[in-house]
Amino acid sequence: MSFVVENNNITVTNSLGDVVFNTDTPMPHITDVLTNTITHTFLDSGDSQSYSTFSTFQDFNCPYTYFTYDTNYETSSCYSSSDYFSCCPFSWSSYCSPNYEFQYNFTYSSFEFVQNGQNCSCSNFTTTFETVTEYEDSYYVTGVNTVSAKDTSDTYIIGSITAGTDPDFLLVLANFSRTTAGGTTDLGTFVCPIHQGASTAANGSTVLESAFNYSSEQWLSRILDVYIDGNSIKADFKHSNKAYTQLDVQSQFNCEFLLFPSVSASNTSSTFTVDFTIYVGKFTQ
Amino acid sequence: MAKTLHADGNNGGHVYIYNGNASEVDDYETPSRPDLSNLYFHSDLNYLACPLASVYEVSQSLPQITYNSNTSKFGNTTYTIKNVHNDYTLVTHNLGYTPIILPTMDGYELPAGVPIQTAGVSTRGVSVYADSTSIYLHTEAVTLSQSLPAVTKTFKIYILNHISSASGNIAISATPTTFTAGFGKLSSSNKYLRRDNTTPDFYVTKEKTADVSGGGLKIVAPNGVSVYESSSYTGSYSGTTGTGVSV
Repeated sequence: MSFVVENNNITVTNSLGDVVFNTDTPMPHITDVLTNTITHTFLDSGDSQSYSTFSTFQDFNCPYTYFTYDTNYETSSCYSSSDYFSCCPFSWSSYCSPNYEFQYNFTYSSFEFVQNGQNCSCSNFTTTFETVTEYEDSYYVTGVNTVSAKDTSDTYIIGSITAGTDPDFLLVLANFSRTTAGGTTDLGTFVCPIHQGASTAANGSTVLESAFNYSSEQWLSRILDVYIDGNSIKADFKHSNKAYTQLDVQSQFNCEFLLFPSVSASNTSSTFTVDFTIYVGKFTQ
Repeated sequence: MAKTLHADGNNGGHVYIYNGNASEVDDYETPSRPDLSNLYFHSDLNYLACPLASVYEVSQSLPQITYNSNTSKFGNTTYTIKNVHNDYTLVTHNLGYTPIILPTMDGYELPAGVPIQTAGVSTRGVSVYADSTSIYLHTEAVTLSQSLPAVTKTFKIYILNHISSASGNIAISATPTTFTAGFGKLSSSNKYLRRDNTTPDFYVTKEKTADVSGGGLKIVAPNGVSVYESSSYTGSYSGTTGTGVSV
């Protein structure tokens, strides 16, 4: 151990010769320790749905059937030697009228007017039909959800320090709890790489949530800033997301009527509760 | 200006070291906030000791995370979301209290939650946290159609203790083996966080170290170096440089 005062410098070393104290490289004072709990909700960014229609002409997925009818009406006439039975073909309709003629009656030596068979008018009505199959145009309708772009910043005062302190740094321990987790229906909840319920080193800014699109482009960022503003220690919860078109496309096949598929909206809202313990540091100038 | 060490057996046994002459000793007996700029040590004030007297440097390997997929007999492949989180013990300190920690990763002050890997929608982020026995690395990842390869990260960690209470009745003492002042607040058996303008191990700051815009993120570490900027970031944040410190 050494305690040395020389050349306008005071130095203390330990038994290993390591410097413990040196006025040329001063220790910072910890002027304040602030604790507070803040809860913040990042609001939902909102959504919009869009649909696209693709026509597939003469698609064999959309058959429809109809019948064509052919009618035939036939007539004929004939003489039936029977007074009672028609001479028309079976199943035809017939109209018969008696046929009379004069016949000589040798008993009475006179002519008599007697029935001799029938004259028939015959008619037949037939219908034939044919099944016809044709194909109509079909449509694929796809629907997709897009998360609307949004930027927000909300500031909270964690605590105040004595005027005139003019601190040099903050050391922040924060205990995070994400009580509701936002996300999208295609990617699930946003990744939050903060261990819940433990003292996390949260100096400066902390990345609370991030999300990337299929091209590896970051489309959503949420951060927490802890900083000094005058005599206040503040926390900014900042959110930014660009419009994000989700990967989970819904489709609906239509044959005749245009129907739109059901597209689920996403809820991007997350809520964080943060227990802060903040050490306020001040160096000798 | 002169450096003065004042120790007083009366007045509560105050010990203080300040930038000024002996004639100013009364000015620093009960220092005001502006006085702190001239004080190097005061027995009424609090400091940050490094109880384990060393900086820990740890390399941690993070395994590959393979995506989930299923291919049907018709050759169609479907992908499903896979969430993976892991915790790794970086340092076991067994201090019995939760210390203040200053972590760096690959040479820069680690912003908690920073994404360290992306591939398509797949991403992995990390943060460092502490409890009364250990310092841990927490990782959180999600994959869809692209895997995240294995990666190794190197962490340097300061473990600090807030020295806020005095103990014993010795205002100042110097022996061949030990030096103590301010009832143990300044002790040769401790090492302390100190300013280092030449070769600092870490930087500390009072400012924000990140910004978001256009959906993107930019991080400027307290050492003033931009360590992360997503291609979608549209802001103009340039960051600030904090104060270098070492133990």
